[in-house]
Amino acid sequence: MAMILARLSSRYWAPTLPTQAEMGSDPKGASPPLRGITGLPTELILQILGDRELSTRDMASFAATCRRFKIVTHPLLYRRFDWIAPLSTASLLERWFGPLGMLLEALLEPLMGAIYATFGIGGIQPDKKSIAFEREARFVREMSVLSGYQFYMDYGMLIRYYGPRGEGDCVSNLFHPFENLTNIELDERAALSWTGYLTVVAEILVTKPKLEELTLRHRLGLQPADRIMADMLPVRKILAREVVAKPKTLSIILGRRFEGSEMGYRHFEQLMETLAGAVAEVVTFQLFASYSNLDENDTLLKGMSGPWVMPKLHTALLHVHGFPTAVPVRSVAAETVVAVKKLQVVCDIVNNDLEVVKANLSMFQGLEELEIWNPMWAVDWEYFGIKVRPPGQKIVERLSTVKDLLPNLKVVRWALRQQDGITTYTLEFPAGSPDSVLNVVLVEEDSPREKLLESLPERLRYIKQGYILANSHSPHSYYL
Amino acid sequence: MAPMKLLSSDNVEIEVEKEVAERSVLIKNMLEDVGDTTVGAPIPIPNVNEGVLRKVIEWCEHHRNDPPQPADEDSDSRKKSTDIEEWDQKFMQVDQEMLFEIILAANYLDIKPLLDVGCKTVANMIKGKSPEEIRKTFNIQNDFTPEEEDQIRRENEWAEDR
Repeated sequence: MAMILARLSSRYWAPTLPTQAEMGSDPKGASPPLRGITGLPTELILQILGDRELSTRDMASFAATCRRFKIVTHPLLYRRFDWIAPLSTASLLERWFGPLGMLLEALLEPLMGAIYATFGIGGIQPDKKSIAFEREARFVREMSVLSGYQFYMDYGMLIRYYGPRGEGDCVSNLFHPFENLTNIELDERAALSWTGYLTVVAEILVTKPKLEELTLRHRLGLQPADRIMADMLPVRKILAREVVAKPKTLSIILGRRFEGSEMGYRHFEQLMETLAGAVAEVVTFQLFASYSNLDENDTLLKGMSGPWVMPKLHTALLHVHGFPTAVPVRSVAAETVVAVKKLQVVCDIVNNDLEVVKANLSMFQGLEELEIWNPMWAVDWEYFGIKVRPPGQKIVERLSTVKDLLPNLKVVRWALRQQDGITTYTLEFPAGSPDSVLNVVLVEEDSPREKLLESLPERLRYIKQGYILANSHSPHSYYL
Repeated sequence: MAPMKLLSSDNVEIEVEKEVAERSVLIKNMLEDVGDTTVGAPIPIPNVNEGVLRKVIEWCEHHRNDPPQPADEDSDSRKKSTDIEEWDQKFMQVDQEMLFEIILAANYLDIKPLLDVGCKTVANMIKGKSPEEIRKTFNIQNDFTPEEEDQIRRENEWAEDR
């Protein structure tokens, strides 16, 4: 019996990764008795370092104790980075004002530095993180060899740049040595041309097989030169090397928040072409875009631009100015749209009829959950401040009709952002029934549910259950 | 609950209740595999000596009624370092050799909550310390050259601000 147990015991023994001693410092192979942390196998060191309480600084300190722990810790320390391509004011001035721009920049820089120092918003200092990556990667310092950075919160601004603007190589080189990156966020601040930007994206797609989340930001048209269409030849040349990245989450953030972009759908089409080979595994697609160059004759509006096919797409967030009339959703193939289960869109259905939304929602036949964010510029007084009482029956009535279009729909959420808070209505549809369900729930402690129920108008009684979520910091909304 | 025996690496038999021993997933799976064919025979634990095994059993006895660990190891139920229970904190107040032996034993015997407590204890010993202080705490030999040490300090300088 003991033999059986002994054999079993050895079978259950899962050998751990070798320690430093086992790896070679003891040529005879006889491991010294365990006396401390250096005797732990790598997997246990990683488990210790994975503790939430340990900061990046703690990990860096641990990495600096000895060679083995550096090797163990660095992949953790560098497993994610957000590279914010700095704004090149020099190249910006150069392109706006020609050679005079560079002179202006050179003259202004000491003054700007003094101003920053005076107001305590950061001095000129090197980007430490970039330097770390640079040393680790041994890449040529094209972007920062003669530069300094000024940091203000998370916004990196290159205030002195004499090197070539480049077409993306400098940024691609940053990513190059990190083959196992799972999360990349590329935040463009105009240091690259549109061609350069797409080149970087393409380079990521052909070199990062473990990529799970890709977030691309581009301000689209910050500088006049950016509006030039990309030369797709170098991009296609890179993509021809085989796209290996298959991200599960793809987020695209284009344009500026409050301004439409000067760049339009043709640029977006080029981005689509670049990403086309990498979207097959996408489960969550988020598009935040602001366009001003809306043209109803655009090929995208006609759905003729070779849309993305995402067979695994489950959740789509479309925060697109003008949705649904702008219809960038047509960047996604019809068969993909049909399979989407959850959709979040921005649409003003307070000031506009729901019919426009319906026309586009009908494409989402598999939809189970719909969330509509109403933009903050609503003008219907029914939805402002104290006039929110009683709750917007018009909206509830409108939303309940969406069920007619979408047979699988279970939940509709509608949120109105006002100056003094956010009001959210949720309608739940029981399976197999066209009836919406109204269940009233309040977040505020001093707003009892009964009070809200009493406030509901007669006409809402056809709604049996569901809830209205009043999540406002304003006392006015307590009446809900 | 029926008692059973464990055999440490230094050939010492230790009696323990089955319910307590089954806090170890390794032992639990072994018992399920062999069934009743080995009743009375001690189960060899070749990687754990008597002192450590007794300590591990002490922990298992104290936590015998704890709910089972969630299957998802990364779930939110995973506690922060500061959340180590008072009893566990006292339990872990041992010399470093014993601490790391307990961690290794918990890993081998597949007792995840004990492994978590051990790892969190070590993490707490690392937290807030400089490289030199960490070396001193754990008796780590600095095998960097001065140049390498300077380089790694500069490489990771950005992390100082985090």
